[in-house]
Amino acid sequence: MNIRAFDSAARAAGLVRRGLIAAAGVAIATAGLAMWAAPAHAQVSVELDRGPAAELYIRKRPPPPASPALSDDIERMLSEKEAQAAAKRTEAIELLRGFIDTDPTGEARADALFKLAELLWEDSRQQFIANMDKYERALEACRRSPDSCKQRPKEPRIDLTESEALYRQILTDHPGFDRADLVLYLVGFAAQERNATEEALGFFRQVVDGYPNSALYGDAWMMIGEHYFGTSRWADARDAYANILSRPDTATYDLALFKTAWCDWKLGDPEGAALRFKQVLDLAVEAEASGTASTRRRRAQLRDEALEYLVVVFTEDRTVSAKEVYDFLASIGGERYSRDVLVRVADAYFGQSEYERSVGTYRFLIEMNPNSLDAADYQRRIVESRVSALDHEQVVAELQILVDTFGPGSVWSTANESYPTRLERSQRLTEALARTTATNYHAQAQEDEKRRKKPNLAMYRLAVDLYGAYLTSYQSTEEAAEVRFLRAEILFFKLREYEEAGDQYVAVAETRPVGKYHKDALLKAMEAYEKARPENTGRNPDGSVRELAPADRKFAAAVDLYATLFPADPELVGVIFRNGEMFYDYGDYDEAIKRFGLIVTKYPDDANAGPAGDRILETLAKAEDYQNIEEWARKLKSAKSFQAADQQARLDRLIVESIGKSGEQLAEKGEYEQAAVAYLRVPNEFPNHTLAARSYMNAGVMYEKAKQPQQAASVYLAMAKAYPKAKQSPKAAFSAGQVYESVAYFDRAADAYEVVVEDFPRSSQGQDALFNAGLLRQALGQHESAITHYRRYAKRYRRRKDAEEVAFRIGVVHEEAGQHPQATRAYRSYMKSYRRGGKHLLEAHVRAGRSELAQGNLRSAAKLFATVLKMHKRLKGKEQARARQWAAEARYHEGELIYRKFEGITLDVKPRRLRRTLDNKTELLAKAQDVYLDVVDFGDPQWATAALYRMGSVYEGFAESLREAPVPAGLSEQEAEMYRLELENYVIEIEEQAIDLYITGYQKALDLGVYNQYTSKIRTALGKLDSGSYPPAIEARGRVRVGDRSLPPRAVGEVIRDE
Amino acid sequence: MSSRFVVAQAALVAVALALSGPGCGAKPQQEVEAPEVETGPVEPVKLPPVSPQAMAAFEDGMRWLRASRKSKRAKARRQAVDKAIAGFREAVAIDANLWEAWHNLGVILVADGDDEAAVEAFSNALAVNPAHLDSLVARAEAHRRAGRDGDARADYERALEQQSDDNASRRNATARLASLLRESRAYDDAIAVIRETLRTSGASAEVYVELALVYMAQEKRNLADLVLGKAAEIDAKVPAIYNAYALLALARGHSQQAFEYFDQATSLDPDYLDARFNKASVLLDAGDYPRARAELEAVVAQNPEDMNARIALGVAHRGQGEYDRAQSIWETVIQEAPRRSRVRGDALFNVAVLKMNFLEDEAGAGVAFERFLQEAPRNHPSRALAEQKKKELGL
Repeated sequence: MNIRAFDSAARAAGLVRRGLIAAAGVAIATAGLAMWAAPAHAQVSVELDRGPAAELYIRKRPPPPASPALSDDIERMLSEKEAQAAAKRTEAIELLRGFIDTDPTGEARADALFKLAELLWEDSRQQFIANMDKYERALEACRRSPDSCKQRPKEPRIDLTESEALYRQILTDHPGFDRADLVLYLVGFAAQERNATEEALGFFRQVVDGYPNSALYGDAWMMIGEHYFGTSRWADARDAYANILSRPDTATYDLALFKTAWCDWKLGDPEGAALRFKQVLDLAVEAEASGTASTRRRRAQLRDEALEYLVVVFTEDRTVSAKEVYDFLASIGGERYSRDVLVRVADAYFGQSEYERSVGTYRFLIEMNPNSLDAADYQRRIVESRVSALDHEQVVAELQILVDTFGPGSVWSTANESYPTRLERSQRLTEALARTTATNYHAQAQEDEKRRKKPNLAMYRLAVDLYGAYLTSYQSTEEAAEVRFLRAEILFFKLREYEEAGDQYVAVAETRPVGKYHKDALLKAMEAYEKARPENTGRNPDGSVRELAPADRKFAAAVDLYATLFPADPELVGVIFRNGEMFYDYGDYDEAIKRFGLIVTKYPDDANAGPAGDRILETLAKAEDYQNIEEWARKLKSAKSFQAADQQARLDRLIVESIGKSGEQLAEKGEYEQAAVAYLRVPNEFPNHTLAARSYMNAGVMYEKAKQPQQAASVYLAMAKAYPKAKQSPKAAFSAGQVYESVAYFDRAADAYEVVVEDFPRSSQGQDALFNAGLLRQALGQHESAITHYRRYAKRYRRRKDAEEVAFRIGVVHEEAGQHPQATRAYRSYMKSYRRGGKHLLEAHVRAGRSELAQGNLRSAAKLFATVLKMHKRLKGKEQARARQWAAEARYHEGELIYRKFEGITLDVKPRRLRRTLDNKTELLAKAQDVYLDVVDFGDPQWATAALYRMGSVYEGFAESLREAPVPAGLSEQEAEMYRLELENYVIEIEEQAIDLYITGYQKALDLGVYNQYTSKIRTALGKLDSGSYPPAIEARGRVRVGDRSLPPRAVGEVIRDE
Repeated sequence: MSSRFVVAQAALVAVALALSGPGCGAKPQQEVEAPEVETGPVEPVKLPPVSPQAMAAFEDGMRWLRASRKSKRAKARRQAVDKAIAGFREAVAIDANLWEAWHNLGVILVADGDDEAAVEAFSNALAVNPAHLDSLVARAEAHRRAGRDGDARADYERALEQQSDDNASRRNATARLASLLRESRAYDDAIAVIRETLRTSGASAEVYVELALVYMAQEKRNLADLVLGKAAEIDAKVPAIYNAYALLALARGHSQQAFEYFDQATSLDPDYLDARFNKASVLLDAGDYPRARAELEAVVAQNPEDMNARIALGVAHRGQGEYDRAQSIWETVIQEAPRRSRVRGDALFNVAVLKMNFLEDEAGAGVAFERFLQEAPRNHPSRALAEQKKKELGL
């Protein structure tokens, strides 16, 4: 027998003994109280509870906790009750003692003795319990604090002396006492307690011999059997037990059966023993179905014991396999116990370090029912077996099987969902095993390294694999982060697999919530990736930019995560900056900006913020990403490191330049309107910036390109107004004028030009603006304004080439406006200013003369016309030919002046003066004719025709005036008639001259192709004077057409249809 | 199916029925409803293939149309035009979706002066292909000539909405709309249209000329002068500039200058008949009948339908003493011109004057004046003179 088996046997024996003590105590106490309450002779029905549980309760209950589990009230109440019971018992004892002292006799005395013995027994038992309690407390205290425990406490014993004496007195004095069997049994029991074994056996034998029908018959045999069992007298014991087995109703039948099986095994009959053990198991099953609670408890205990002993039976033979155990149990009808037996068998193998056999048995158990809840437990045991067997490779494999097959989400897990509590517990155990196995290996590796002073890489690898196996199924447990972290530690520090280590660290950091490992994990991840990164970061050997390696990107991601999780870490910013630099070197500007941007926005106070900001701007500049430059420059404006005035100015400049570049880009894309809007942002937001005016200007240009002329002009003017000192402003205002002109807003254009004139008179545009303003005002019929501009122009730009033209135009405008005095002055001014070589000198004189004529200043006019002719005469060649128009007109007007005189002479004179008057008129007529003929000689068709018409009309008018002249007064009728005839002849002659002149003029005009108003007038006059030859044209006809022809519609020559 | 498509289909069916019936002749017998064209750009319509028979008829029409343009003899030209019309009509009778044939029919009818039929033909073309800008503008012109300025304006504006991109067709539509508005004395609207054109299409000589005409109509002559200067700066070869300059000169009483501008315009473009007519007008004013006659004969030769030119030609003949020729020309106009038209009134009056002043046919003159007074438009400017002449004749 091995130690384990022997110990079990001893426990089994002790169990029975203790159970009887307790049972006896309870029986006595109950009987005593019942007797006291009931009629004196009532039979106490004692329910024996010799089950191990009761004994265990008394002997093995845990020590009371430091703080009472019961409330004070309950504790007090219980104490009071116990005190009350004790007091009543004491009182009863005193009463009984008093009664006995009265020397009663007969049954009364016997009963009194019996009851007194019971009460005293109970008293002793209570005392024993109290002593046991003290003992156990003391024992626990020693266990907890061995140093303070000077002497191991002594286990108390029950003192039944007085009760035993009283029972013996009954036996002596009252041999016919009706409960003599009980008294004998108790006396025997008390002797047993006093270690008077033989004496005790004698009393027990008296019971079985004298009282075969007693309820205590089985108990008495049991006490006898136990005695033999305890002294290894297996055959005697089996014989004693056999008396009980012959009475299956006996309370201790099951115990006797169990003990008999034990004896069989001890006596070399294992199969017989197995059969009896199997019967014990059957009893337990039977009790489960129909037994009382106490029976169930007792038999369950026995079942366990029986199973254990079955295992001992099976494991003794090393050739027996799990399958054979199963087959044997099946053969004896015990298949249903096979699982329990095999479990114990496997456990036994494990306990005996028979790991291959234990693994085989557990595996057999799993195969029996792979989806049972216990299957996971068996696999765990397999893992433990492999661990104990130091079979490392198999540990990893079995652990992987464990987590895969019985971990979360497994088929097994699904199959057991209906047992949530047990399932959860099993999974918890599996998780714990997987984890602790890995950590144990890890610890072992560390221990080993400490011992050997160098790492056992294979062991570490094993730990890594085990951690890995764990993590395949437990990624979100509370411990997962720690496990992953530990795995990463090995990969990083021992196995030097840096990138994988980094990945593991990052995985730790990505778990939530953030725990104690996160920060360390990320820092180590960065370090790991740093080591994993290729050398010569960012550049190939030939200096070209290299693509980012995966480790680079992971490093960056780790930094980012670190920054997110631990934004307050003072060292973080430097790391991020370095990260940004890496991307910058690689030319991955987006990523670089993310890092630099993070520094700027999240750590504006950090020393790296300034350089980061610079880097952002440099990066964006390289990428020509102006919108982002602007955006970042704006962000940087509030950054602490950019608060210095020069930095602010720099950022402003960047923003403005970026806007400008954005505008350029939009313009390049043809998005002119958006470009204009972009440019306008500069003056709107940075009105004092040096580029504001230029941006304004650009906005205007963009609006022009966008075909938004009015907006363009508005912008130009607004710019000129807002930035009067900007060098672009005059040009802007001038452009506004041009733009307005381009869409026929001539009044607005003039306004714009006037802005240039008024606000930027000395600009390069000033001259043109002034001219244009004058020209437009003139065209708009705004003569005063036009003249003002022209005057100003002529004065301000008198040295310019066109100043003369403008000076001349002043007179023209006045003339057009009918302002003859002003026109005269203007022309005279021109004549004075440009008296030498003025291009319009002759014309100016003529026009001045016209104006003088209009004012009635005939003398001045004549003077001017004469000057013209003199000047013309002095001209030579082509110059003279070019100027003949004005000479001809001047000469024509001279003729007109003579004609005025002619017309001024009235024929309403006295007859005696008529001749002289007529002579004067004729003389003037001839003079005028000469002058008009001179006009014709100039060869200018316009004025030649005019002169010819005038000659004819002068004669015609003269004739008419003669015809209409009144007959002089005082003539007789006859004289008057004579006068009229004479005059008529004269008139006819003159009319004919007029006709001749008209015809000459008309022919001349037609010959020359002159079709002016004078030609028409001549033709009209001829129609009137010689309608026969020159009938008047009174026909109706359309006059002129504006010529806005529509394009004739074009025919469609080809028919095209898409297929 | 969109509502527009339904209308177009219905119109086509109506047209097809009209053309296939016994009444199918020179003109469609049934009025075709104008299509409901939505505003904004119109997507080109996808049409089924043309039937070979319709295609053959179309090509036949095109051959005759080209022949008519080459023919120098009026009779032969007329015959060719008639055959072209017949070809296109046959084409649309076979396949009413052949909008090209409808359009070409309209082109010929416009040239024939049959504005109503032309409007109908263009409408049919647009019912099938609303995106065809030329049909829309041509219909606008036909409406305009028929005196329906409102319809014309609507078509011009629709054409501008449909065609947002700058091109020659759009610029033409803009100029024509502006001129219509000017003629309607809606000067501000006209200028607004021109400004929009300047904005979207940029400056052009033609646009500035139209602007100058508006300013002239407003008697803003200096402004007209200014913009004509701008027009000449852009393209000095555009004859319309000089025609406008001439008109401006005339307005200022500078006939000689006007004559020279008209002459310049016709020199630049001998086919610029308006300028040539104007030149002739100045010559008539001056009494240079032989030169006027030469110019007018050139006009009439190119456009026999130019009734005003024929009236003026009659005056030139009369000025040269060719009374019978003058009378013949005017009598023809009396026959051919619309009954209440101004030009017919001119012819009636001139015949009366001819009879009275040159043929010494007082009786005939009296009758002629009476006829003029009866048949000429009520606002004819020669009415008062006719009354006076009647009195002179003792009538």
